[in-house]
Amino acid sequence: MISVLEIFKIIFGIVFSVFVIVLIFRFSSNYMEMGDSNAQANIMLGFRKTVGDVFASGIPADYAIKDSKNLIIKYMPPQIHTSIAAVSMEPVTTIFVPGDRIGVHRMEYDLGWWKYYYILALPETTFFFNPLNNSEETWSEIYRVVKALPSSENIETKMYFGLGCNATSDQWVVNNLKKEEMLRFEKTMSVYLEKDNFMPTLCGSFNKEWKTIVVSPKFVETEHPLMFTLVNGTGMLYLNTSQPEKAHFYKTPMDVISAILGGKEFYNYENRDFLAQLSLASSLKMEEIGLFMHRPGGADCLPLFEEFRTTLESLKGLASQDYNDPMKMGELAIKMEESRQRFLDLQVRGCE
Amino acid sequence: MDRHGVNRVSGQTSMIMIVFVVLIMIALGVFFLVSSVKPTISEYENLYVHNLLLTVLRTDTGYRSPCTTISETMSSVALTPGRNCGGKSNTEILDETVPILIQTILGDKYLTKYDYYIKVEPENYEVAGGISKSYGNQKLETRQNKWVANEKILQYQSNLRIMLILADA
Amino acid sequence: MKSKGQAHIMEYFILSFFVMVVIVLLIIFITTYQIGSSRSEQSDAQFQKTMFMLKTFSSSPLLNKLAYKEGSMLEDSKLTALSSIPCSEAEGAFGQGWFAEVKVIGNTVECTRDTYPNCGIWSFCRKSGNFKAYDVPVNIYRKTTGRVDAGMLTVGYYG
Repeated sequence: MISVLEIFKIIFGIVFSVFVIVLIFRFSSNYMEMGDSNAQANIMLGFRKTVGDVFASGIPADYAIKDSKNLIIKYMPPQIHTSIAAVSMEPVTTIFVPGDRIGVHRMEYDLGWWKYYYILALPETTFFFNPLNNSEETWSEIYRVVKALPSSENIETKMYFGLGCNATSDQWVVNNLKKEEMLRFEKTMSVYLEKDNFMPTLCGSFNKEWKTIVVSPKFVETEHPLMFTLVNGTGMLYLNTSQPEKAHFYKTPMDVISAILGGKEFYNYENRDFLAQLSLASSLKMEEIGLFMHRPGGADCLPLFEEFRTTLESLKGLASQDYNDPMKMGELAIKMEESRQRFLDLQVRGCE
Repeated sequence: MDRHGVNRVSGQTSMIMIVFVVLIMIALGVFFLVSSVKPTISEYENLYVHNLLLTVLRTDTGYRSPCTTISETMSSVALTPGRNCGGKSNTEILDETVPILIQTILGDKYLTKYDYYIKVEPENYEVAGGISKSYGNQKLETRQNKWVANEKILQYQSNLRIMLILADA
Repeated sequence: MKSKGQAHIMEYFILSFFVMVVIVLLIIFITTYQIGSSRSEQSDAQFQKTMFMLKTFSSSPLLNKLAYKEGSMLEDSKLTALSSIPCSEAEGAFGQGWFAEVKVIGNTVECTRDTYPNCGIWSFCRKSGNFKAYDVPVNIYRKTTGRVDAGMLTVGYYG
């Protein structure tokens, strides 16, 4: 017969074991949560490090963000808000669209005397252009925007490009082009236009996952963003044509790209950063010119330096204006082009 | 052995077992601690060594072409060793400028001190031979804890590969 | 018999006591380790921020010679221009709380509009206070002579 002591041993053993096991489980689940938070923080810090490396080297890179839907709440530039903390991307201008696999690219906007670097960090994306006429201006606009988008030649996260649609035959669509193919395709577009009697028209349907841009010199109602082209690479971008009062003025391809990828928030962020950098770059260049203008032997260059400095002063002034003002930003676009030309003149004359 | 003796032994065995359990748990704790220690971050050192190599290669020597920069001098030594570059031979210029420049830059670090080793040789040196130049502490090649930067100089006949190693002094 | 039973029960209590002591010690130990780990992660975050700024500054098109896409070829005229303008303007582009310094090896003259181009030290947004800084070798391109010098770039954050 079993003794009292043995009964005691059994009961004591069970109670004690259950107590220890419950204690260990509770503690280890807290510990696992801490471990998970650490891992998540490391992912985002690793992403920022990759952005810094790409910015410094110019070499694009892939980055994997595990379970990005649950990890990243929202990107409110320049902060990436996650479930544990916010990671700031300052001082690098970063256009970021979350995804599990991201291609990080350094893009540039070149004025000759200054380059503006910014980062495009995107998951696999197709950019689809729907021109509504055959004019050279329309094709130039598309070309300009495509040139400002990244090539994914050397990385795994791909960017694709597409073009359409044709009214004369069945809805004719070209997609899955690489950037280089797209640029070549546009250049040879006239051959196809003559050959196939291509009549551009609004596409009947689109792939919902594509980033679609309708390009037209006239306003049309469309369910997709509309680039209403004006002159000199400027125009109005309607993210929603049913709300024309909310259109954004674009003066650079970056304005179009930031608005298409992230709406008003990204457009505002990109403009603020670009104009702040443009203002600083103008100040610095004017200071720099001041160092060389009155050097001995520089008499021939003096008028060119004066002209260039005048243009930079206008640029600096315009850069502090409201970027939603089409008049002012139109002037800014003209001055930027003027500064590019004046700098080229300086270089040709051997002054720079 | 009598009953009392058996009980004494049984009691002592229990105490020994308790001590064993405690020792095993302490050993497990130490094991977890040691295995969770992360390796030291070397991002800064990697950036430093890469920038150091780039800076050294692009710096002017103060002499004339084809020895204007250190990288040009390296090319010149590989192609036409002993060639005159405005008063001195390219080999002399390289021997003089590279160690002094690297030591001066490293000497500027007032906290951590690094030791260095730099080697310049043709890309296919193992097969075709050629001129190999090196400066610094060669023992760093076999060191475990080190930071390495590599660059290539593209040139006619054979590209040059340059390796710079830094390690704690 | 009674004392034998009591002795057995006592053994169990002593054993349980020791096991509890070890578990509590382990918990204290792991918690202390986690606290220490969080502190080191905070300084790691500061390190990452400084590294980010170091890379951004050394490759910024505002300071580099054109066509040097890999960066770290700072132009002396651009450095002099940046050191001549108020810090608040530079902070607009690079953020706040940082400072930087560029020094040409072997040169001790502070650069201003008057000492340019025969100078070799540029300071940006220097203030008093505790800071943590890192430095890397860079090249400085002398615009007037075309010469390339070696130097050091130091970037840090206050606080």
